[in-house]
Amino acid sequence: MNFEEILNLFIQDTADTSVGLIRPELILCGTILSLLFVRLFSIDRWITPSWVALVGAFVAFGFAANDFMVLKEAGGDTVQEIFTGLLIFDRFTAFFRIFLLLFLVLVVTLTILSGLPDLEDGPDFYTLLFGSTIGMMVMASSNHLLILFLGVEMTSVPSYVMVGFLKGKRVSSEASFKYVVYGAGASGVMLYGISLLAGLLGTGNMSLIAERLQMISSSGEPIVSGTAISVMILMVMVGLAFKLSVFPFHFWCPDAFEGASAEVAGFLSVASKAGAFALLVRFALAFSAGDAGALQPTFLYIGLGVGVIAAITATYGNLAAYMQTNVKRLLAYSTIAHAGYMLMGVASVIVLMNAPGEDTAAATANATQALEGLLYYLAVYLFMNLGAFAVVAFIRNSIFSEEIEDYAGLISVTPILCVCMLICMFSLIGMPPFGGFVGKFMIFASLFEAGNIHWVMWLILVAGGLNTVFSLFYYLKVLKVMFLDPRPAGAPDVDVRWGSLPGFYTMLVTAPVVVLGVLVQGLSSTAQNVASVLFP
Amino acid sequence: MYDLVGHFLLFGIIIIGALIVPLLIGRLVRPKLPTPQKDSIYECGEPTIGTSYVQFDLRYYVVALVFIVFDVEVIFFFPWAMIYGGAMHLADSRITEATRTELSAKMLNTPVAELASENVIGAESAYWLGLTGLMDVLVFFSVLLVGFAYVWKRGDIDWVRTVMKERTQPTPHQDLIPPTKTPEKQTVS
Amino acid sequence: MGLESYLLVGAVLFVSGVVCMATKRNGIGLLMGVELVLNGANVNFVAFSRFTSLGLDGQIVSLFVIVLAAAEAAVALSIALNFYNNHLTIDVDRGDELKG
Repeated sequence: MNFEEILNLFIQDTADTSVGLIRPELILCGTILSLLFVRLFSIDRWITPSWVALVGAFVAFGFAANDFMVLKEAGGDTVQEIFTGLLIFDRFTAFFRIFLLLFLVLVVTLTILSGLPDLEDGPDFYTLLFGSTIGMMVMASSNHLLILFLGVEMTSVPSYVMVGFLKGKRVSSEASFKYVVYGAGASGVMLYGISLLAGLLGTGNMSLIAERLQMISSSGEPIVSGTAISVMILMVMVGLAFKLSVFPFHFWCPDAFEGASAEVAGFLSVASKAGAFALLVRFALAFSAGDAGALQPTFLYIGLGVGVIAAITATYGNLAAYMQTNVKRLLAYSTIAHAGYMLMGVASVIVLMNAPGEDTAAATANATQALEGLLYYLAVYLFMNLGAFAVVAFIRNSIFSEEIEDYAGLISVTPILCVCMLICMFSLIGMPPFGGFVGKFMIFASLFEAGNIHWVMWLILVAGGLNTVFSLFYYLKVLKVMFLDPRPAGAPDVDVRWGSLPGFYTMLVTAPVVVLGVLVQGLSSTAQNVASVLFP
Repeated sequence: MYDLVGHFLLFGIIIIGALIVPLLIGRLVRPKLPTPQKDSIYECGEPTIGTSYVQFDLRYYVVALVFIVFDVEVIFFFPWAMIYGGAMHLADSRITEATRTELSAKMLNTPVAELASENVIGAESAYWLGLTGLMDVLVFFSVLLVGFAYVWKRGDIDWVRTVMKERTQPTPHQDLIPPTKTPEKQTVS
Repeated sequence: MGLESYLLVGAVLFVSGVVCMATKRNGIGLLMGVELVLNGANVNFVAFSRFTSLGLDGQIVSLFVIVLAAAEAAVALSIALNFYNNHLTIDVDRGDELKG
């Protein structure tokens, strides 16, 4: 192939295929630009930035949903590498795009209802929010180590600023300062790991990693041992673990959530976790795909290590949540615990994929089921966590407090918010009629399956079960204060009623938590369909 | 070789000239009205003599932050400029076959001897390469410019920060940010 | 000069950066440590692009990393400025209002 053909192919591929497949991202970019233009030409006297943002997010969501439907109807395992293999477009990408954009629409609506950014700061806030979302979408579709790093950074850098968005508030500035210092350190370590990995493999393309690794391990070069490769992989995982707030990289999470407003905390707790999990799954499967040969035991042990860390994370999050007096801080520790549960799912995917033995078909089927559980859990987690944070935001708007003690007896003034909080928290615990139970059950089932390969996974399963019991108490503590304690005299009123927009919004977000707990089939078959594309 | 030395010489002479001539013109034209402030050494508005452990004016900081962001973006122009220059030279259909081969080899990063004849870049594909690159850079640069205009419009790079004009509309929900529990008293370290 | 020498320089930069991040209490000092780490990785990338089949990818990555490092530094410095305005210090240990 000569130069001219390569050039034509490149231009054609970019213009005809690739650009069309990143329409949602492009629309978000366009929305950011129009937000800036709205301020630049002082159009914001007529159109508030929040409505521009809402429309942009909605249009992007429409395109993403359309892409997903087209892919689903086409059937088969369509996997397209776009932009010369930098990004990958398949059902997994499309699923996470829908997920993130739906969440973006909901968050923008929440900020409009709770009035977080005022007119002056609107363009700034939504620019950061959208930029961060684009980063997460890039993370979900990355197929190259460079894009992996870029995605993580594009997500992180705007979120540092969003955490410190409440100007002149001491805790907010402290939270963002701590967040940026930890975050920058973690991403530096991750980049160093990426540089070693890319140099060792001679490529940054993640779909070539398994092949190259096999080549290296079969050629028996003395400098590359399994240990060296695990160190590199662990360095990359440091960056992802930071995004996921996994023990021992969780320090930023409670501080950042307490300092940030409830809306931003809700956004970070769901969206950045989702993006990071998508990336972690892609990264982990890039190594496990195909026959890893001599490195298989190494990967199996990495999977077990991830599982142990997940168990520690869940335990730590649940135990630390006991002492909390601030609702956002409590929810931050609950977020850490849930990251632990979901990481257990990833661990079982890795372990199942690297099962010793020749039966690859069974391993793939089991791993698909584990991933299906993870996706289901993420989808439910979106609604239940956003619901909880939305309730916190609406209550804050009326009583100007996020301390648990100030929530006493809220049931008498705002039953709707209290009932929604009850549903969300029961789902976060994992109570049977709600969605959280189904997600947790699927992940625990996959852990049980993985236990057949290595007994450590059974221990992790036990840890997960115990954690569910631990977590019961601190969620119930909040609910007890809200439902059973008497409302002190003279406490401010919360005027969120059934018919009001905030009340309606909270119900809208909470409803799927119930629906997904009862009607499991629809989402789980979609999740399975999505998961299967990663295991050809 | 002499060609190169000659270029450097010429370049050096022009630089020296371009420095000396304005200084000379200034010396001849300007009025001489010295004041103590004018006689002091210029150091961007900071006092020049004294300990160097002073706190600089915070306003430098903001300008420097904006500068960092826009300055470093230039780095994306370097690889583009390398390719664009070569491509535009190749797009000229009048250059000789030998030059074309040499330029193609340079662009494809292979020795001239090893360059296969079908890999010599034709005028048209070089033109398309250059055009694509130009379009990409223009999009990139215009997005940067929007950001710059936004910063400018907000008054973040004004030396004397103008108080933003009060909007006619009352800003809603200003009171929603919960009051902090800690007193706003600032502790001096 | 082989690949090893460059990797050694990168490793020294990385370790200095990590030590700097671990020991400094001044926020700006921490950020300097981050820059050292990122540049250590950059040295690796450029060296790999010269000596291995990574090729031009390595150079492109290092360009992106330089820009990202600058963007991150700008954001981090403005957050540090915000922190200073509220606390009159950039000592990270002074941020002790959030705990539990």
